[in-house]
Parts: sequence; C-alpha cells; structure tokens
Amino acid sequence: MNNKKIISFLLITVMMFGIVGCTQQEEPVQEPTEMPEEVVEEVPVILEDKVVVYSTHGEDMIAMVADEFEKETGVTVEFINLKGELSERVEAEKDNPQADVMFGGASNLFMDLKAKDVFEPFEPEWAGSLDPMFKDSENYWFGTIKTPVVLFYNTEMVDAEDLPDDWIDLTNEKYEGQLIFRNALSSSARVMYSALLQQYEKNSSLEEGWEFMKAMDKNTKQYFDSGSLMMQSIGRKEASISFSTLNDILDNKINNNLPIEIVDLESGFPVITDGIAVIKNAPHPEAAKAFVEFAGSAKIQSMLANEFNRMPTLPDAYAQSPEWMNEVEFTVMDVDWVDLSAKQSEWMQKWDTEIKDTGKDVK
Amino acid sequence: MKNLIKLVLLAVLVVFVLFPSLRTLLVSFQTDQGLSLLNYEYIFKTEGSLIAIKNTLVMGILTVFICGFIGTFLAFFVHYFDFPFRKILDRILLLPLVVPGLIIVFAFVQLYGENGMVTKTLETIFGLREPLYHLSGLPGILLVHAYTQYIYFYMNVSMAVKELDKSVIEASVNLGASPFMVFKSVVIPYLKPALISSSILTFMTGIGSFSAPNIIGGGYKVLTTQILLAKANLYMNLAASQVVVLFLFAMIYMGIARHYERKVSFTSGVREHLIEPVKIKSKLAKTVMVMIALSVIVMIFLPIITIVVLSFVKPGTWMIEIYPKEFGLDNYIRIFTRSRSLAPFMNSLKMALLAALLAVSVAVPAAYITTKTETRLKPVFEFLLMLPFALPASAIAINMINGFSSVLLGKWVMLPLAYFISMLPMAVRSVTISYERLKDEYGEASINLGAGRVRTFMRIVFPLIAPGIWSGLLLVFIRSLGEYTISTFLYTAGNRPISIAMVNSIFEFEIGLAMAYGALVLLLTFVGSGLLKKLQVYVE
Repeated sequence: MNNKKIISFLLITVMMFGIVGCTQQEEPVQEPTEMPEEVVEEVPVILEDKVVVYSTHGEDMIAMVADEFEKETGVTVEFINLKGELSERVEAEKDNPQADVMFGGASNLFMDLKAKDVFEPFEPEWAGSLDPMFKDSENYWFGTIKTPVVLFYNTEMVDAEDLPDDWIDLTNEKYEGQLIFRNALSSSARVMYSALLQQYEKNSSLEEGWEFMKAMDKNTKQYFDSGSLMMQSIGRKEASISFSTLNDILDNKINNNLPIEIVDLESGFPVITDGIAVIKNAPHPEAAKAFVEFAGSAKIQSMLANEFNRMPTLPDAYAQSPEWMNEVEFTVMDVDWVDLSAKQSEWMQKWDTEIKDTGKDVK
Repeated sequence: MKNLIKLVLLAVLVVFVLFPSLRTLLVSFQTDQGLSLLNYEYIFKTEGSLIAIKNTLVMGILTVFICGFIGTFLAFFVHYFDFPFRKILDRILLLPLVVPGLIIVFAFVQLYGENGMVTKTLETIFGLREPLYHLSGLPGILLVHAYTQYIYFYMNVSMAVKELDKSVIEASVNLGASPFMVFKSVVIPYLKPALISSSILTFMTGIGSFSAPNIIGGGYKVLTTQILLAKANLYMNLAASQVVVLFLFAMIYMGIARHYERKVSFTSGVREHLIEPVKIKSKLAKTVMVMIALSVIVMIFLPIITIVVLSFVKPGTWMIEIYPKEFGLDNYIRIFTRSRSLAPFMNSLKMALLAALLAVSVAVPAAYITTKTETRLKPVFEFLLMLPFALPASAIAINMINGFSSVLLGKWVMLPLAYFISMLPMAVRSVTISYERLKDEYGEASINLGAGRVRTFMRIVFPLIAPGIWSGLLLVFIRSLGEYTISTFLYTAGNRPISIAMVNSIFEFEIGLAMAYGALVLLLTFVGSGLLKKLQVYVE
C-alpha cells in the first residue's frame, strides 16, 4: 500500500508547513547601532520588531522607503496601500489602532484627523528646518512631499492656441467630451474640486462655484476610479485634457512615453502637502517614531525626488533633487488649507450626489 | 471517548459558527436608543438602501433565470445528444467552479471592459467612436454571473437528464405526442427537482455575490457592497442588520422553493431503460453541434488564456496600444525575487493550508457523528455544520468582526479562521460521502478480530475515508487561495492575501503583475483539481 505511505507523509509535511506558517516572531529587535562611549546618559531606545504603515503612496515608492528603513534599523515594515480609504480606516481603528504610522495623504486630511484626536505628537530632528507652512504647530504631523496638482493635455490632440487660459475656459463648449477627471475617491481630485470651490467662495460666491462645477461636469466625458486608467485613456486619445499630480504626469511622460504636457492657468493650481504622522496608541510606538524620523529625513526626501519625482519640503533635500524641480513653472493657487479641511467633506458629498453626472463614472 | 469528541466538536461549532452569528443578530438590534428595530427601519425606509435591496433581488432573480437557461441548455446539449468532443466539453464546463471569481472579473475587464481588447477590436473594426457596450452595472454583473454560476444548473440537470426514462419517452411518442408535448409533460417533471434545488443554490450565490458588483458594478449598488461601505464607515450595527436581511432573503427563497418542490415531487417507477445519448445523423446538424461546442470551449478558455498571456506583459509597455506587444518573464521574476511581492503569495498559501487543515480536522469527527452515530444532538450538529453554507461570504466576515474583534482584530489568524468557517460545509460534505460508502461491518470485523479502536481507525477506517479527506482538504485549499470577499473585509497589513495584492496591482496599473498573481493561483487551482479528479478515480 504505497499510496497510504505517500498520503501520510504528505499529511505530515503539510501540517508542519501549516504550523510553521502560524508562528510569528514577536521578540523585539534591538537597534543595531553601537553606542559611542561618551553618550552614556542616553538610554538606547529599544525599537519593536515591526512597524505597520498605512499609506496612500504607490507600492514601489513605499516599498523603497520600507526596505531602506529595514536595512538601517532591522525593524520589519508592514504596509498597506489604502488610497482614498486611508483616513476612514485610520479613524475607524481609533479605539483599537492597528497601524503605527500614517504616511501620505493631503495635509487637510491630517488636520481633520488631528482634530479627531488620532495622532500622537512627536518632533523629529529635521522638523526645525521645515517651513511652518509644511507642518503642524503642535507637532502632530509633518509635510514631507509637495504635490502640485496641475492640468495637462495630449499634445497630439490639442494645438497650443486652443489651450485654456483659466479654469473657466474649460466650460467652453469646444471642450465638450474632451475632459476626463478622477472621481471623488481620489484625494488629489477632492482637493482640486474643493480648492476651486473655495476660490469662488472667496472671490465671488459659492453659488457661482457650483454653477462652474456643473458646467465643467457637462463637458466632462468620464470620471475615473483609477488614475492609471485615466492616463491610459488620455494616451489612447479618448479625451485630451485632464489634471493629475505633477509627479504622475512626469512619470507617464518619461517612463510610459505619453505625449503629454502641463498647461499653466491664471488662477493656478493647489499644491498639496503630503504628510506623515505617528498614530495615537500605536501598537509599536518607538518604531513608529523611528519610521517618521527616517521617512521625512532629507536623505529619503531627495531619494524620492530622484526616483519618483516627488518634490521635497526640506530645503536640504531640494539641493540634491532633479533640476526640473527648480525650473518647473506654474502658478500656485492661494488655498486656505484650514478652511478647506473644514468644508471639503460636505462639498464633496454634494458634488458627488448633486453635481456629478454619475452616468459618467467608469469602474 | 466518543462523548468527549462530541463535546469538543460541539464546543468548536458553537464558538466559531453559532456564537458569531448570534452576535451579529444581537448587534443588528443595537442602536443609540438601546435594542430596537431602528437599523432595520433605516434599511427599509432610506431610498438609497431600498434601491440596494431591490437591486440585490433583481440581480439574484435574473441570475437564476440566465444561469438556469444556460445551465439547462448545456446539460441537454452535452448529455442528451451524441456528438464529437462531448466528453471533453463535459469536463471543461465544470472549470468555472474552481476558478476564483475575482480572476474571472479581471479577465472580463481586460477583454470586454471600457478599454478591453475585444471592445477595442470591435470599435476598430466598425470604426466606432464609442464602445458598443459597457461592461458595468447590472449587465456586466450578469455577464460574469452567467459565466461563473451556470454550474449548479448544469451539474444537477445533467444528472437528471442521465436518469430520464427512455421507455416513458418512447411510450408517449408512440401515443402520438409531439416533441414539444414530450418535453413539457414528460421531461420537465423529471427535471423539476433538479431545477428547483439548483435555483436555490444559484439564488444564494447570486445575491451574495461581491467581486462582480464591487469591481464592475459601478453605480449599481447591492447589499453586499453596502455592507462593506457600512463597515468601512464604522456603522457596524447597520452592517449587521444588512447581513441579517441578506440571510433572510436567502432563507425566504429557499422556503418558497422547497414548498413548491414538495408539491411537484413525484416518484417514478423503476428506471431500467436509461436514455442513451441521441445519435445525430444529419451532417448539417452535426456541424452545428460541433460549432456550438467549440464556441462554448473558446468562451470558457478565453478569460483563462487572457490571464496567462497578460501575465507576461512587460511592465510599463502597455499604455497606448490596444494589444500588448512586449512580453517577458519580468512579472514572475519580480514576484519570486522581491520578498515584498512574494509575501502575499506565500501568505495566501499558508492561510489556505491552515484553513484546509482546520476544516478537515473538524469535518472528520463531524461527518462521523452525523453519519455513523445516533444521537439526539444530531440535528443540532447538522444545523451548525450547514449554517455557514447559507451565509454569504460577506456575512461570515461581519460575523467574525462581531464575534472576535476584541481578541483577534488585526491578528494574522483572523483571515484563515474565516476561510475555515465559510468552507467547512464543503469539507464536511466530501468526508460524509466517504463515510457513507464505508460499511460498518469492516470496523466491526476488525474489532472482533482483536484490533483496538485506534488501530481499527488507523488501519481500516482512515484508509477508506482518506480520499474524502483529501478531496475536502484540496477543495478548501483551492477555494481559500483566491478568496476575495472575506479578505476584503478582514485583511490587515500583516496578512495581505494574493487577491488583495491583485486588486492593488490593478490600481497601480501593474496589469501584468496582477495577472501573474492570478496565473499562479490558476496554476495551483488546476493542479489541485487535477489531483481531485485522480482521487475520484481512486475512490471508484
């Protein structure tokens, strides 16, 4: 009965595999740095064996930061990329946090969550050289990346003289069916739409802002769930004009050879500050602080600038960044981020339910 | 000893099956004003929620009709007529049973989606500016369901067709009945029980479907996606009551169907003259039959081939063109050389193995108790063992959160435990079949000859039920490997499974990488079902 032997052998191996699979190492890992003899007064901080990061950043980018951090500290980094669901998830887990660090997401999300008491204040060493506009005055969060959200177009489809001069031009009927945008799940799109509404509220009236949004919706061909599919659609000439983050535009222009360029507009574009923060009652608090210290440092900021076209917030990092970052020209929209943070949810809810033509959603 | 096993088993089932379900029921009545019906009132009074309920029922009923038509047609096609390829076709038609739904959905998106290859090809051929159709909303969901869920009708009706009584058909033909009359008055009554029980299964999987509505449903909201939304927004009470409503719909449908079944059931006489597949004589008819068979085979293999082909697309090379042009092993190299890309794959393997082992270790004593012993608790066992079967995957996930979130939230084991509970009935069934074949006399003889109970179990019983155990193990393993619904609700940074990695890759536009994950799952699935087939031969 050879079969029986084989079966029992397999069963045993399978079981062993299963058991090995369930055991997880929980021993804390000591920071592998040798303390110089003079610094005796400082007790070496013992980092936990892992750190859990919730992020909105792309898989490749967060993986690179995580790998570098693991190399330097020996702490395992577990991360998930939650895109638009990030802040809801962090908030949902408030009473029982599963993550240590929130990495990525616009500053208004961080302001929102700070008000909801989900962060732990912590001041990293590099915070001193950061412009106050990129950080929280009470050290609850810090901006590590600047992300301009700008308009771009397919150069093979639109001639230079046909380009819009300002946002209001996009409601002109000659752009009908030429516009594609992200839906309200995209955090950059949320900021873009709310920033435009805020401009109207500040300069004329919110009512006019809604009229503008409605008129722009009329010219919009489709709203995308995924930024990559939207880019693909521009690449395939299904529409000609859209907006996205500057790094995404450059990435597609350089790496995917899309024929796209940015267009500057008179009222300009919001520049999002992407933040990082330690989550309150994090399961691995020391490793969380070490991660924030690391991920926001000038070294990592310039690495992200060179590898992923992400614009740094630290002046030191700027010096070692690609040249275009100093050369690129676009008008910066004057956004009141605190005000935006307070109104964004309500505005986006209204936009989603009353303004946007849901028939234009692409899944 | 026997009583101890019973006790332990009962405890396990109560803790993992009954307790979380009851918790969900309780949570569904919890509101700001104490226990009340407010959550249910919200569900049945809010417009958005009512639309989701209506959509769910429409989706379920249409799924039953479409799959009923396709499944019954195919069953007749394959088993009533004799033509080339029918044996192969029969086996291929069972394929969608094992392929994870998520993978099918993604393949469909790549083929028939807005930018899909088939869609774009048609656009180019006919010089259209707009796609011919949109793979979204209800039609998109139904297309996916038609492809994946005809299987219950196909299997049950096939069995019924094979048992049609030739003499009755011949008698009615001799008495002058038209083919239509024969079909209506003789064939249909034979099929009715099969049709009804398949419609129950199809309705339950239809209203519980999550992958298709979540990924291509667009604005078409259904209960399962609403449950996820409620959970994400931390309205656990609402999510719980939505789960209860979904469960009730399944039960009501089952009640009505069973009632109807009792009315129509009839027992025919001894069936000695089973039908033989009708030989097709006309050349034309034969050609048509073969054409139909071939196109069905193409339809079934196209999504699978798509996944495999696209898994070789070089990263970053497929943005502008309709068809990919550059191929390579890059995606597989990435998965197997970068530990972060490999992690979800290895993790899914471990979780599926653990779920399979747990399911089998519960199924072996459980099936023993329900088939080989007489106990007053038997109906209780049977109920608890089959309860997870009546619960959609999203309900199982919500039950897990309600039952164990205080101890297990964020823990690795939460996901494999949930897989185990949801697939327990499958394991129990396959072990039960083996026990039913096992004659009590063997064990008695062994004991009479002086072997101890343990020895008898190891040397006599175990080898005889081993095929059942193995097929249970494989089935649970295969189904857990690509599981998506439960995973979406419960995954954390520490146990991200392959299905979630696939979805993430799609969002990052790493189509090739996503498809490579899918192809790996398919490979293991096919190896697994190949082994299953071997086991069936071994049993017979």
